[in-house]
Amino acid sequence: MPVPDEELMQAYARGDAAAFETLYGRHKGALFGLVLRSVRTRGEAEEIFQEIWMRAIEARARYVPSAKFSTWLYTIAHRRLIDHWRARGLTLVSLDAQDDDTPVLDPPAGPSAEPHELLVATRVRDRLAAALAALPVAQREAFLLHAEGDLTVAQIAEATGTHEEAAKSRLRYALARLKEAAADD
Amino acid sequence: MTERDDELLRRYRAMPKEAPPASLDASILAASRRAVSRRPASRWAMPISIAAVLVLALGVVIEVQREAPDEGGPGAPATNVPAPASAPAGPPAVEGATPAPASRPFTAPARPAPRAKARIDLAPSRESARPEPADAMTSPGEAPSRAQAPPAAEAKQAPFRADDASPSTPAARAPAPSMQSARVAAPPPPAAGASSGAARAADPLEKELERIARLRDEGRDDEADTALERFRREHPDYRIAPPLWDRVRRKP
Repeated sequence: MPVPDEELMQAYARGDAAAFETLYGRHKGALFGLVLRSVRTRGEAEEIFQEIWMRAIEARARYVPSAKFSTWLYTIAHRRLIDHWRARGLTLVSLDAQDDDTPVLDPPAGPSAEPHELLVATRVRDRLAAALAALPVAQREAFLLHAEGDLTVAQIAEATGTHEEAAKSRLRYALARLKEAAADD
Repeated sequence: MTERDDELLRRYRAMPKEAPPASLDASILAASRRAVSRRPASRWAMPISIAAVLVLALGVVIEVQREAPDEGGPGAPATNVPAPASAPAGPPAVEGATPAPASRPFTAPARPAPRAKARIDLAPSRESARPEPADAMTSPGEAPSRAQAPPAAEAKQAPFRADDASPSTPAARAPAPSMQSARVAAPPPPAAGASSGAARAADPLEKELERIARLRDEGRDDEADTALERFRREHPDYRIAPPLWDRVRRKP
């Protein structure tokens, strides 16, 4: 039985570097996917991805095992992404938008815009990716936390600092929009 | 979650996954290792430093307490004043057991440095916190002036009482050899050079020596010897000016 994330993080806080390597291996793919689909370029994604992990490293002593590690990690990611969006002039109004009519401010292109991706992607996948990129920021974040981080509605609410009803609503709208995009296949 | 939701998630997760480059992995993992490898030093440096200081301080305190009972005890031989030939005290521990020449009437104590340090530390508290005993060399009327004399005033008596310097002064911390050399090289006490406060603080002891000198003059050598011996016990580090020493010591 694998060691729980929370125990690994505590071990790392006590100085066990190998524990962190295990944690990193478990979560790097999902976190990178979330960040990559939340920003415009891969360069930005790599920079933010690294900063999120550095914040986690620096905050290791403050980690409280009562919180699920992934929720804690994605809380850090959420805050870093907010900083990024603010720096890019994207208003946070879209974070709180509840309906799918909220306009997206300059939606990120995502990896699907890259040529090598286009060569291997199916049409459905392209549409799904495009629909995801076109989602309002808050809805996209809720979907990515659920799909990449495997977070529940309650955990999404905790990670994004909102209440459960708002998180549930964001996720529901995101799923509806994406299902609509994928249904045309 | 509906079946359609699950199907959507399945399709999403089937999309090509991007992974961070290996160089980024290496950079993050290296940072994570550095963070915890630095930690032991920063975590233990302060406690170890504190523990070392405490051990040293405890050692000094124990040493001082171990030496303290010797102070003024029976047969305590440590003194700077050369013992007269007829002095009944125990075996002299000083290099000048016999009267020294007038040009160098005082000798350094032949005790190790810790004892000297202990005396330095204990003497002020004994003088200030405990009233002089009835048979003390100083009269009851004179004791308060000594007890009230500020440490700085006593420190100013350095030409007279080199060991009375405050423990915080470098001279007080110096090892015995340098104290000895300082004592030997010290010039004779200036009659008018000392501050009035220091002179006042020294008065009771000088008066006592004057009393012993008068006993000598009156031929009451036994009483003078006894008083001088008591004076030596009470003030082992007091340096007697050469002219006064010539008057209080037993004449051959």
